[in-house]
Amino acid sequence: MSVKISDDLLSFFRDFVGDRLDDLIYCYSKPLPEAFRVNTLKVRKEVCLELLKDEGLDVVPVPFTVDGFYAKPEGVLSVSLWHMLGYVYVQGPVSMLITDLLEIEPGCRVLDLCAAPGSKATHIAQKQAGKGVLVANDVSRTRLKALASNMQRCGVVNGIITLADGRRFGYRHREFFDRVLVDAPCSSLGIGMKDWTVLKYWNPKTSIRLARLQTNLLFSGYSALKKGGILVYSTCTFHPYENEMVVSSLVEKHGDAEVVQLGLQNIEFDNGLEEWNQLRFSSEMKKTARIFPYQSGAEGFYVAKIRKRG
Amino acid sequence: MHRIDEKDRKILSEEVEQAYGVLLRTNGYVLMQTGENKIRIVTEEAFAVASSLKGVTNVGLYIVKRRKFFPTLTIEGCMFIEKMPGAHVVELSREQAVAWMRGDPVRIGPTNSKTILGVYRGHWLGSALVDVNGIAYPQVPKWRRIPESII
Repeated sequence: MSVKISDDLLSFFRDFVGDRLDDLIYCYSKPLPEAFRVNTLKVRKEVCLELLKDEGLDVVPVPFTVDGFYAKPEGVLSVSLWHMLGYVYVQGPVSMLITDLLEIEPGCRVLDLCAAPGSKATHIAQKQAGKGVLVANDVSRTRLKALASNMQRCGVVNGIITLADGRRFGYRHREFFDRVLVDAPCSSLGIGMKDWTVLKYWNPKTSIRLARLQTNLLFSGYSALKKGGILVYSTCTFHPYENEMVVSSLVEKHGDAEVVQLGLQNIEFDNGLEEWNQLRFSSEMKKTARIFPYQSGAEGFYVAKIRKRG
Repeated sequence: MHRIDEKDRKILSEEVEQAYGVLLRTNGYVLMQTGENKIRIVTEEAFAVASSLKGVTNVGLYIVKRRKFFPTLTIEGCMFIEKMPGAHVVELSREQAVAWMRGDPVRIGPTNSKTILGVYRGHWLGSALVDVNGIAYPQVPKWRRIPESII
């Protein structure tokens, strides 16, 4: 079987990635590498790596993350005893990088606005080390079950799970959180290798529709952020409608929103766009980053880090 | 969500000590009784924040379920225990540990207690009930069992 990509998407990719199109399609045809992090809320890293070694797993650090490792052979870890005990969390390597950018410290009050199924939320909790508060919110009751299971398995004792519409949540808790993560629902073009149907059925209207939701979520998340706090906006897609356009609208509306240079290391990425297809965005967008699968060797993401001045 | 007072906390600790011979160390945390007699533990700060939020569905960690004759301790509940001499703890082999985490009965031989805690290489696997034939029935929820096809 080969990857089927809609005509609209193919035309967008030709324009957007140019001569890297073949690389991108090749990445879509391969499964994602199995990566994980050790859950230090439950076990020390060295102890866990020793346990995994005894299980016959080869473990190599992911160079661009603080906590990530690749595991081989694939498919063993996620059904292992240590996974079920919550000692390891299987997660995409770029997804781990997003949480690293939040600069979490123990004692921080953190909001994950679209938290289910909890990969980033449990990573945040790990960085908090049981101190401070983590509010993990999601709008879907079904997805909340997976979130609750993962928070339990990872031993998060300072976590609160809420069921609320993220578009309103932030306005009810203005300037309450030191850190906010808005990992917004998106067209998922960066993880097309997990589910080819997103590539087959994508059209520009999908991204336009999602952009409205993402803008509302970002504005709500920003409202919940304290002065001096950090917000990270991320999506696992590439389209500027869902990325630069959303972040740019926040920066233009809120004079106190400052886009922070990301300082990513050991990974290739493209800077965010200042203009695309006759659309002009804030010049601050060049401080944001777009990571393609052929650059990370894993998922594709867009990420922006914003500080609220004050 | 109902906060457990000091008196009830002491009773719970005694129930756990009686069933498993271990001390439940929860000082500095808030204990809450939720549906189905489940006890959850959470930090003071998180409890205070949760009290001010709307739409809260879960807070902290589920550690103990109170039953009619004994409490069951979850895997996370074991994060808050201190082992005492004579604790009802059974050291498991790898095969037994995997069977335990699959939710299968595990033959452990005769014990002095109907309730035990399982340990594999020093890592807690939660609690199990033991029948008169020395077979332990691990209390592992379905969602976190190792799938049947995996050995």
